[in-house]
Amino acid sequence: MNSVDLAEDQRLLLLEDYGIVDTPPEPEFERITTLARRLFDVEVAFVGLITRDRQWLKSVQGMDLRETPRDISFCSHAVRSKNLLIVPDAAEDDRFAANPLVTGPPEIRFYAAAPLINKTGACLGTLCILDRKPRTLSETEIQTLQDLAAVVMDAMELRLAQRQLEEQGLRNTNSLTGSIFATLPGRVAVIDAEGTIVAVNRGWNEKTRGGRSLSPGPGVGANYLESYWNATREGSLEAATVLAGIKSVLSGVSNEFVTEYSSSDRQGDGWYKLMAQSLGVTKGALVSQIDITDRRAANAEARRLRAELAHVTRVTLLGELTASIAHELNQPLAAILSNAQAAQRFLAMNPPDLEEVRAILRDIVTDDQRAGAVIRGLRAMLTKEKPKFEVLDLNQVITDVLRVVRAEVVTHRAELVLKLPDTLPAVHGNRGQLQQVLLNLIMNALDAMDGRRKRGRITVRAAAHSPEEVEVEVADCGMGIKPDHLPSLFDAFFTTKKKGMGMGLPICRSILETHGGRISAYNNADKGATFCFTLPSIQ
Amino acid sequence: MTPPLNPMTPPLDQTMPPPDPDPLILVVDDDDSVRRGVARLLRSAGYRTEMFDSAGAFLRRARPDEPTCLILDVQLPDLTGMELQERMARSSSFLPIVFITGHGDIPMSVRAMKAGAVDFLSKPFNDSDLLEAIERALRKSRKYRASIVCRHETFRRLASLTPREREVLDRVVQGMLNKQIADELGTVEKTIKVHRRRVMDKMGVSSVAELVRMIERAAYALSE
Repeated sequence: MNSVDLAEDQRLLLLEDYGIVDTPPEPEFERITTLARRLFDVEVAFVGLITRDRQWLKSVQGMDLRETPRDISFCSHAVRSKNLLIVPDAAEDDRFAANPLVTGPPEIRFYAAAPLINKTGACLGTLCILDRKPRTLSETEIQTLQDLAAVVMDAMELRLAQRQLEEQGLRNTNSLTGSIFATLPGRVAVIDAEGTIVAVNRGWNEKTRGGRSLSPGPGVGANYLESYWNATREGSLEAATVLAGIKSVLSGVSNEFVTEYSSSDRQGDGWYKLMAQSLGVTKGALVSQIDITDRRAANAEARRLRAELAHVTRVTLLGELTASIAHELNQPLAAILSNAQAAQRFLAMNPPDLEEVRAILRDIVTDDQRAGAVIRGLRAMLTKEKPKFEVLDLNQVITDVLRVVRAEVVTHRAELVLKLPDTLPAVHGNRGQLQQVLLNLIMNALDAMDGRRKRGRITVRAAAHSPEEVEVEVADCGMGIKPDHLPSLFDAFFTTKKKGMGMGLPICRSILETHGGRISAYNNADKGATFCFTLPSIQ
Repeated sequence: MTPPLNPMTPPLDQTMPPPDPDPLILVVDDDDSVRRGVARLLRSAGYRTEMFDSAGAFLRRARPDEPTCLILDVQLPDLTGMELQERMARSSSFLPIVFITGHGDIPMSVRAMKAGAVDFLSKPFNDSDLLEAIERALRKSRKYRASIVCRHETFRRLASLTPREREVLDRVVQGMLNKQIADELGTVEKTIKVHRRRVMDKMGVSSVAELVRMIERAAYALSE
């Protein structure tokens, strides 16, 4: 009948949902059949599930059989009736007397089955007890058998619920990682141990703004490393580096590899950041590639602007020193002119005083060199070329600055005390920028001491307290730094001066940072403040 | 005509001071090169020079007695040139100054000139400018020396007057007539005439106008 068949179809689908048929034995069910066999003192106890064409045993005690064809199974009767079925002696029962399970092994005589009915009322199978000798069940035993069948059903429900939860979780995890992977920026690929591309993200086929396509082009199935192999064979050192890096991750030598490299194609030069991350036990790697051309260009632009700003403030600073610089140049020039004109007179004498003229010429040479040194000291600060880093002697840098600032110190009625060791470890840096820092600190020190009645004193000290760095201090005996100004001292646009942009110290800090050094300030115990900066020394 | 009681005192103009000793140029500059250069230039022009590297070193030197010019750097480590100028003015020691400066600063030069500087030269300067300024300074110095000699002579002559003659002189210089002076001093006009004659002789002047000028010059020299 159709209606029956429909109910049977639904029952079969339901059974399929439980996903229990053809699964290995599980302790929950073993425990129940063992218990049933012992409780009823029977030879065989099992949990049987009726599929379309067979009876499959989830758990069985006392028999090797795991399944039987459905048409010879006793249980299909119970399943069909959804009722408890008790056959005290099968040989005496017309329904089963001819059953091969009765006539042959296991030669069943006694059979009792309690249906496994789930909450929708469908019967999925039975809990069965069998014996080779006829017997009956008391009312209590019947009740116990039915209770045990209910326990089996509970175990099946619990099992189903757990399975559903796990599936849900798995599905969630998979979809989460999947969408993260898909939406990763740049071009991301999962590659196996040989470099074959297993999966790619959505960005794989996108082009960058400039129309630049990120290499490598091929998609899933192609070898990720191939384009790098080709470029390496063409002699690209960068491709070789990338290749070696990815291979070290694939072979498990390192866990990750990160590099930035440039690559030229028809569209122009591009910069890329490549990261390869080991996938661990799975073997293979996640390789991502991001176009950082714009970022690098922005960084380069920022560096250029910083250098520009430093140059502008340096020139401004020197502008404030024009009088002092003029003075430093005019002194030797005055000496040269006076000497030269004196020489003309000595030569015009009769007889000419050649001894004087010789002495004059010696002095002129010295004075000319002195003027030249002032110019040389300034040139590094005035140059607008790309900052050149070179090996520098800080003693020399300091001396050059003092030559420029000397007259300014005298104008401020101050004196400058220099405490330099005979030799200092060399540093790597840009002469003009470091001179700017010193000049800035000395000018600040002079400003800090203005308006004092006592004669100001600036102490410039340099020392190498450790083999790693050289330290330079500029100490004044001025008004010191207000404690609440200390934290913002190096912030841009922070100034306490009437005419000042507040760019001096921030630029000093920026310069020192690009030199791998640092700058700090503190108030002296007695009076005034000390600015101290360090630079890494070349060992 | 009453014969003079004293041999005639010569007029002041004719009492020539002793011939000037060689002029002396003092140079104060803290820059060795500049000092050496200027010293050579001055030597080549035939001047005697003395060099000082600070205001302090200069101030420790005794005031020169000969015609002197001071060449002063504006920017000295201990005192500025201006401060040194002010200090000398206060101690009323007169020394004509030629300022030299490494960075010409107009307000500063105006201030220095107002305070009596002879010149204000920016380094580097031409020898002719410096030597010309020095000559002007030395003329000033010689004139001052001469005025000092006149003043000393005037005071010497004033000191030779009797108290009575001094009383008469004071009133003559104020422009009083003999009769008025006689009335005031309680004597007769004739006696005053005799005193007046003696005063004119002792002071070496032949007119009241000359006497007044002589006294004024002495007073002016004092104030300079």
